[in-house]
Amino acid sequence: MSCLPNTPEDSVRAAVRAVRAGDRAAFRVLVETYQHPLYGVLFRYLKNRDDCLDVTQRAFVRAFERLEDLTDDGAFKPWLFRIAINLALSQIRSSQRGREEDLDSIPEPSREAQQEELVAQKQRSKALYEALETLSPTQKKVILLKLEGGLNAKEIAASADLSEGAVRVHVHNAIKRLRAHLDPESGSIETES
Amino acid sequence: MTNPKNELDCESSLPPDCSRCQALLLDSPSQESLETLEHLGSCTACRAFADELTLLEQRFQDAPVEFPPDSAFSAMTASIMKHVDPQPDAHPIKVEAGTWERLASWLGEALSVRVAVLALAALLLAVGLWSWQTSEPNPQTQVTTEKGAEARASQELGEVEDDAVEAALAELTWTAEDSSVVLGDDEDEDELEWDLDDDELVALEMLLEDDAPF
Repeated sequence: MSCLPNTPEDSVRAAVRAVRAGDRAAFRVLVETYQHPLYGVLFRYLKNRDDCLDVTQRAFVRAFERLEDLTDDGAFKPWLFRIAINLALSQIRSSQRGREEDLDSIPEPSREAQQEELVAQKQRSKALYEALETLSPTQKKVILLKLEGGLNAKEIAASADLSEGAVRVHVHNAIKRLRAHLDPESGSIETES
Repeated sequence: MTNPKNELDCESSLPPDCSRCQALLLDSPSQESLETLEHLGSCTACRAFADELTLLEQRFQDAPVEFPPDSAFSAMTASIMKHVDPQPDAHPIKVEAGTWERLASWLGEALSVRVAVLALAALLLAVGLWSWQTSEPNPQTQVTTEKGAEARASQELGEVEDDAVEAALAELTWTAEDSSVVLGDDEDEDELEWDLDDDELVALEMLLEDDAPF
């Protein structure tokens, strides 16, 4: 190959083209690039490790099976995240999980931390998940794609089927609502230090 | 899609520089672009937005996602690739037979099996017929056999009769006037004379019909 990809985006674009051309092994590049951020976004929805792994895997398989539906090779990332979030929402609806019952089953933090830190971390997690539940579905999707998935405004717009301006508006509104829920006294979000 | 009119309303509430700045903030987690930093130094609204965004990111970091061990991701990747590319090593080695080759192979196998089955069936049928014929006498065959015996008997009898006829013919003289047979030489008519009834005469005629020299 005379010209190697320079950026992760170039690598992804090259991998998508290779898969389209019949090199199925190139799909591994896509899996290894996006499995962690995708899992992070899905975890905020599903709050369950096994469910997240299952949906992550199904999202990649579905993306492969429907790769011909992807019109722009450079838009694989938002397209994949859209597939994954739709699968997660479908799973939540079908299993009636992911809301109230899961607020009490928020995952325990790592065992290496101190006991006090464990308690504080669990409280912060519970507060964050409760705050996320106050958002509209679109606000939640936009803020999670931004903060967990690492998508930029253009990618979020493509994934959520919005304009970039609408993405900024939803991010603003989401921040306001989260701030109001997490710290109603001061009117701003405070760090736990 | 959202309503474009509402988007314009929301967008128009921000000065162009602020809109640009906040777009960059959303796109750049590091928030270190020169353009962004210059604007944040002079715009309190955008600085507040940047702070809130940073604080929210901190909130998410304080409630981390519970990631499984790397082995779980490796297993998941392997499972995905198994679905995507089931036999990665088999592709360059495996040589697919053509349609005609596969059809001929199938026909050959099918024909050889069918021929073997038919041969076995024919053999069994022949053995069955033979054993059936030898174990149970057929009435028709029996009749045929009886007829054959009669024929043989008749033939033997005929041979005996032929001898007798030939011997008798040497002595016979046919007399039509009184339906009598005169045995002996013509010149010695009175030597012997047998009287025959009608049935005997008919039987004698039948015997003479085939071989009678007159």
